Amino acid sequence: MAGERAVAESVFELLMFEAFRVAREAPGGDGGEDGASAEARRMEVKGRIEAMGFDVGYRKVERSATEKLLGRHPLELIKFICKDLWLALFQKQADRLQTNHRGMFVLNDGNFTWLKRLGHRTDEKSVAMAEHILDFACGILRGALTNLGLSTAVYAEIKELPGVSFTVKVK
Amino acid sequence: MASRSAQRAGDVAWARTPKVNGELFALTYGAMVKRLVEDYTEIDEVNEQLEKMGYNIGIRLVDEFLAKAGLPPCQGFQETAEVIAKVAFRMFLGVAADVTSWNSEATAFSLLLADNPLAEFVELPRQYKTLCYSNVLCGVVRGALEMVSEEMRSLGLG
Repeated sequence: MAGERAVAESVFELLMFEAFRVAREAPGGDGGEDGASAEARRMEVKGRIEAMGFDVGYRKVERSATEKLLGRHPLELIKFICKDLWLALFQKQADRLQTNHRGMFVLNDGNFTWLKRLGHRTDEKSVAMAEHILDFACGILRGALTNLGLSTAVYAEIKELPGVSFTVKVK
Repeated sequence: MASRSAQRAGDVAWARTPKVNGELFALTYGAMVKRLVEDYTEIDEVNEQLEKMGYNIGIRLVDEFLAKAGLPPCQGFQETAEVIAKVAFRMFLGVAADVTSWNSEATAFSLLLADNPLAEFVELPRQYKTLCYSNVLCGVVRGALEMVSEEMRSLGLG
């Protein structure tokens, strides 16, 4: 995947965390005290972060192999994601890909780069941060696949930090 | 510190820095700016949010700079300017900036970034001409300098 320019990893991470803060502090919507509003607010933040990821993923694949990949079998597109996109985003390839050959794919990464900094912390703030990071990543994957012609639902699960598994369901 | 040795320090620091894809960085920034523009009706508000964001980044980034750049304290504001432009910008953004337009009192200068990683592939529609797209960078510099000058005050260096 093209894009020879690079920036410091720390700068990107700090920017990403600030983007999450922006999503959390966005104006509009009532920050109510009761549980229901808090949950609604949480989902709203989640949606905003996922949407930002979608924009990133959609544009990220725009200049790369879109032409030669459009119309290809979903498995080929997912493999592209596991290799090329993963390399560009996380400096490594995904570790393992599983599929039921009926539109469901599970992408496993035993050492998810973006969760490295969190270590094995389980305090509330770290857990929230991990959630934001994964929502963002899911959005990126969904955006990339959309631009490659595949409409999907993507969600992530932490499998013993820093391992993550992403489930992609083709719609 | 002469400009050339600052440049060399910048190159060395950059070579040692763990890096990520620049496009990912630019796209993340762009996605966030887009959200801010949607959230705030006034462009001035967006500019302010970007600066504030930069400030939050700068106050944290400066620790890494001090630890990794391996430089002695700056002797004067002119040196500070060179270090920001040639070392800091280089080691974090991959591109050095140029110091220009000093005022007569030598209390203010401009940083010229000819090659801006944030603006890669970005086109601003006409209605956003008052948007300072890269305002985050101003905040970063402000935050970083504020931390350094605070440190200097506490050490009694004035």
